[in-house]
Amino acid sequence: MIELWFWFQLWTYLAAGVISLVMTIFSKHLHSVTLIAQMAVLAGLVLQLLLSSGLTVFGERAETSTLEFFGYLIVALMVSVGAIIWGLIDRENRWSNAVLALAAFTIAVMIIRMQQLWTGVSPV
Amino acid sequence: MRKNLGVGRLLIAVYAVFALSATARASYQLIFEFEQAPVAYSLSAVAAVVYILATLALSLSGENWKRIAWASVLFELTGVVSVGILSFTQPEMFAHPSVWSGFGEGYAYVPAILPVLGIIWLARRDAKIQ
Repeated sequence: MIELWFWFQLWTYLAAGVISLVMTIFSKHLHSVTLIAQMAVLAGLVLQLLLSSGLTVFGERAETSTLEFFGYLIVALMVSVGAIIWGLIDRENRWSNAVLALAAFTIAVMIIRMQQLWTGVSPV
Repeated sequence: MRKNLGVGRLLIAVYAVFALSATARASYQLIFEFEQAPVAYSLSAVAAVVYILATLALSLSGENWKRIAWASVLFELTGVVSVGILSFTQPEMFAHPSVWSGFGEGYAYVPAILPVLGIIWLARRDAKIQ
């Protein structure tokens, strides 16, 4: 993973989580801002998948474990997609915003672990 | 899914995240690293199954699911407390991390807090019904 891209993702995911939490307080249904924020998270993860797949194809390997790295990435993608589906099914409920916030924070933690698996050192 | 769950939805979502990540992690450990720590990794697999059960039982309605919900949160609490204690008294058994070792310290102690919240929520729901 590229260092700058990692930090960009981390701050984006944390911001998405905070925005979604704020929307839990102010919106009685799934707010479009929450949904857009989660879509940004998903877009970031898809880019990450393309980027690290490309690097792996060209012979780069994670410092700790490439397999575990991709395991985390796939689970993170599942969490984000699952959260979006949850939000769309349970649209008329304030807590949908909180569920999407939870997904964003979980993914933020997972991206830190992924960076650690790729570089061999914990970034934080 | 049941209606009027309120904040309970968030609890179910946390359980769902744990079910997914614990299953993924336990599968990886069982397939690639089992011989390194059979006890710890078998426990991780058990924990993963219980998280899946709890997620389902908390989100579905009916008497049977209610019983399964109670059983799974109580099992979880027992698991996290006993494994937590054992990982301090018998550290050689838990040299490799499992979800429950050190009272779930690898997961910000969420594995210890989660069953307590689950019990509170189930108890409040039962009280409301009666």
